[in-house]
Amino acid sequence: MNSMENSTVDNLKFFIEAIVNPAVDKTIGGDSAVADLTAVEVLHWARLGVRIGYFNKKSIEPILSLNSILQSSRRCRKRVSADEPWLDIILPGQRGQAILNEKWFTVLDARQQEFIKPWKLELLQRTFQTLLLLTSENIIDDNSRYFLDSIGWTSKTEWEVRFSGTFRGMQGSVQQIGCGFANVLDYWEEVRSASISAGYETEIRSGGNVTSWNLDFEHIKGPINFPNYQSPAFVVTDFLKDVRAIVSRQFNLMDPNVIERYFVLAGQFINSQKEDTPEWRDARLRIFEDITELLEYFGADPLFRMQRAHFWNLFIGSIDLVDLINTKLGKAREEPKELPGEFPGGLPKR
Amino acid sequence: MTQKRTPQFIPGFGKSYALLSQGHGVNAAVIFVHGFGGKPTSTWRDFHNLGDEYSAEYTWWVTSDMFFYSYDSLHTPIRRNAELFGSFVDSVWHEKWREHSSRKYRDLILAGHSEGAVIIRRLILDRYDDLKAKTQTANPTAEAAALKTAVAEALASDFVLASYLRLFAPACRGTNFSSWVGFLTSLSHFVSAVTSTSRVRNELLPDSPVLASLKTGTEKAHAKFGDVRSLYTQPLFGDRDQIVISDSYDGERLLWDEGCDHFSVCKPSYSHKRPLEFVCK
Repeated sequence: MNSMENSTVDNLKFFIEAIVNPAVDKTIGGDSAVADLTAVEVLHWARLGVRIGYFNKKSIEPILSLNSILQSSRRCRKRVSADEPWLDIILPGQRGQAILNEKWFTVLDARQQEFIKPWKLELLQRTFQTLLLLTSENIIDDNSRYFLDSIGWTSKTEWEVRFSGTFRGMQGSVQQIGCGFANVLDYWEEVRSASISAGYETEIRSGGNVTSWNLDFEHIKGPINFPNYQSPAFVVTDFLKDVRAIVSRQFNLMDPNVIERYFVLAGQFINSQKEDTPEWRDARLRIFEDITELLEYFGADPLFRMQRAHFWNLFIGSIDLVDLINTKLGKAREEPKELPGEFPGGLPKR
Repeated sequence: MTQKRTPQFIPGFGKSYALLSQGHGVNAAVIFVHGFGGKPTSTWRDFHNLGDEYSAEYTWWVTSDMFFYSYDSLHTPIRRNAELFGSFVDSVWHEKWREHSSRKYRDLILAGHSEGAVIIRRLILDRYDDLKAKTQTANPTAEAAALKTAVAEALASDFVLASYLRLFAPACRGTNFSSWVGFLTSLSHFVSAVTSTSRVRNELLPDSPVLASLKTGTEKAHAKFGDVRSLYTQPLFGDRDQIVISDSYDGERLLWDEGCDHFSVCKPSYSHKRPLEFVCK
């Protein structure tokens, strides 16, 4: 084997150990929306890796044709959308076995490779490797999964209970919400930063000016449109667009209720250590603007920015969520009732 | 095209991994240890590529394997973390994590940020104490001068004590938890800090017994055995650091990186190569 072939073998080994196996393990039980979405996301990472030559297509196909991922895909269709094309990457064969959808797993053709400079492809592979490492560290994690399930895929009542820690018997703890939140923020910040680095390097090497390159905030509409890498000049931009399309699904930021939850949660953390000095207030505003940008970059509809005042009020705590929860719980104690289907096994009995 | 470094998962040590050089004549292992609330890739990812990109300027990177240690910085006591880290270092140096050994390292560089630097220094002191105790036990009747010579020989032959410490903004003199503004450079740093246990935060306070005993022990050891490389270092601080106390142990000169805060001091870039230069033997 030559050194390039050795590299793709090593890359695949790492991908399986650090990402595929842990992600598939977490789908056992089938009760986590995020675990199922992450399992399908793994196939999209594989697809992108094949496209840019980080993985060898022949080696990866037999390893990823997993029935467990097909099951995840089926559960996602029930939870998310029956005709979500993102899920078409794995399909049932004639005998019901899992097969990867061939049309997704394409390599850059000869024409594209001829026009894409070697340094660009190397840049894409390096960036891709960084993204895999970040995904392994921050997203393939029990705390992150519990947090993303809670904030993105639960009802309003269930989210409030999980976030405020008012009942035992939930699948996780408030501490896990905090740790998972930190992981996801870290992931967003680092993916954004890695994307900016890739863009800047492209500009510098192309003889351009870094100030002329900007992050692409084009809205990731559903169904997700994947780039087709037709233009070598935009291969890096297409790659970054592809990355956003891959990762955004599990965050569910197209749901405006989820956006609200992020601002409330961020605000609760900030306000828990309120100092109220000018420096602190400046920092608080910077954090608000940063989280707004991150939410947009990872899938929120840009139109949400038009409600800045509303989200600012949520963030600084003008609407006191804790009081709201306590008022609702006070009424619930007067008239206890079972909430069908909202909590695993129903509310704990009192 | 050839990939310059391929990732290798290191089993048994959480999310730790290696980026092994594809170059010839690899003779150094660089182990990176993140800090409080940090993670291996988030803290050190800029080293992944820039080390190789600037290998013409900083030639040692081509012959260095990089290892990124992952540990629980928010909930596990420092002394326990130092023990666990010691196992990792041993595994790296002797290549126990691989099925087939293929390297023979000559040099070990331990690069730590913030709490990571404290863990590195604790490992060094533990190693020193352990070797000293074993030598004393093995020579129960030796006179003081002969015992000191025996101890010095034992220390000189230990690969961990012979390592080069490269510490970015070490938390060895304490962390400023009285104000949280310094953590607000990013929301992830802030949330990590708030969700940490009070036990770990207490261990990193300026008047903490954990830090005090580490300082006293290291200074005494260095006073007795000044030739042991890892008992002395010159840490690098950002002059805008609001998180840790910018100070070190007796006699250790501080190095400054202008314009850097606690988090940017360990991040190289095209316009900020100081961290790349700093991590070398």
